[in-house]
Amino acid sequence: MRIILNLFPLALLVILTACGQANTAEVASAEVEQNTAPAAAPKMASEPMAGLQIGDVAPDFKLEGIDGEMHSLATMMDANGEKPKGYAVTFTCNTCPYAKMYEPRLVALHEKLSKMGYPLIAIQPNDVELKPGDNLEAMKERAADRGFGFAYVIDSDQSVYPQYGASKTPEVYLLDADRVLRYHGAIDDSPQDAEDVTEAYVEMAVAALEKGEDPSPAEVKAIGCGIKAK
Amino acid sequence: MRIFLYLLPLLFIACQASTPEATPSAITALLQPNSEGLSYPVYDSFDDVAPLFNQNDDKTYVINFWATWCKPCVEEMPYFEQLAKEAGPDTEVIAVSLDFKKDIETKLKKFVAARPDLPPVIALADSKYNNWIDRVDPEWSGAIPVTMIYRGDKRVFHAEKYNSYAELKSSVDAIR
Repeated sequence: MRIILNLFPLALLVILTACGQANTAEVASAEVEQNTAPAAAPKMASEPMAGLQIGDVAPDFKLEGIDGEMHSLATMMDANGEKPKGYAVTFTCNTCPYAKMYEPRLVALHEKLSKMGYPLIAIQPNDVELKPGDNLEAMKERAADRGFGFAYVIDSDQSVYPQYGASKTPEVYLLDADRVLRYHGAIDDSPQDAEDVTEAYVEMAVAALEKGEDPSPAEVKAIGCGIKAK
Repeated sequence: MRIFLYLLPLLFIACQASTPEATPSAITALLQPNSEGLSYPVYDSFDDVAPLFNQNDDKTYVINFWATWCKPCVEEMPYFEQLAKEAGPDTEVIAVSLDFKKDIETKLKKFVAARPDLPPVIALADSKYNNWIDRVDPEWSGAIPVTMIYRGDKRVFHAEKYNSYAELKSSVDAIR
């Protein structure tokens, strides 16, 4: 960015000499707009806080689950009753159509990954006054309905998702055994149609960790619904 | 010398911008219905609608991404309806629906039929979102609603819901 700004007077000069006289003023002013980017201001305001970057240690939490118990990463076990090699922390909810489309895939993902040592925990981050369909009672029903085999917990004071920097449901943070963030974002590349998946990002990331490698891609934008906060 | 090499692309863009390559008919053509029984066109690939985002004429393009299932999108739609009604001929308001494939011929059709004041609607069924949302704007996080407003090289990407008509209008006026 700085380079462009430094070069800008030069660029103007070149444009002035190169383009037809009549158009230069208009073109130059358009370039100024773009390069100084005043339009960035409203963008910044709406961006979620920075949140976790790849390589950061994710905070643990203590959240109530649909089983009435409090859940933490520190006390989680994998399908073999072992201390996990990693955690698929997934922000999701009952009401977002994308979250719903992913439910069967989340169930299958947990079954597969938990056996490999990477259990999934689902956190419902929405404000339940704004989204009554996401309250704990509704979560219990949905989980029973859909056969969730993973822990489904609620971020009832909306304090956990901002620490992670989550902005959507569904959105995954894959942590290793030391809670270091190794992959962040989408579950796969085809939200609407499981049949059409060509890149199963979370599974690919776990496979990379199993080989002692860094996941690639390490971040893919999660497609979904904005988390609802008051 | 090195500096001039850097500037070459810039020069190219700047000069190109001043030539009247505007093809309003491209937009008109894009808005034509192309599916039996639907009053709006349906496109399977972002490539088909890419021209929506790079017109270079004396018009302001206001392109809203929404879906019938998205509550905040539906809540802000009246502002786009009002804008489409009140803005002059140099402003094009277009509502790009990201309704799911299964809903395009059902829910979306019903919604459009019930809302005569809607701006022109395009249904975009390209569900490999990660392949194209960055082409609209790298700041797009992956949720809707979002609105891209541009006029020539001036762009505003609004990554959330508009809360009033005045707020939308000020975004539009900001790049005139």
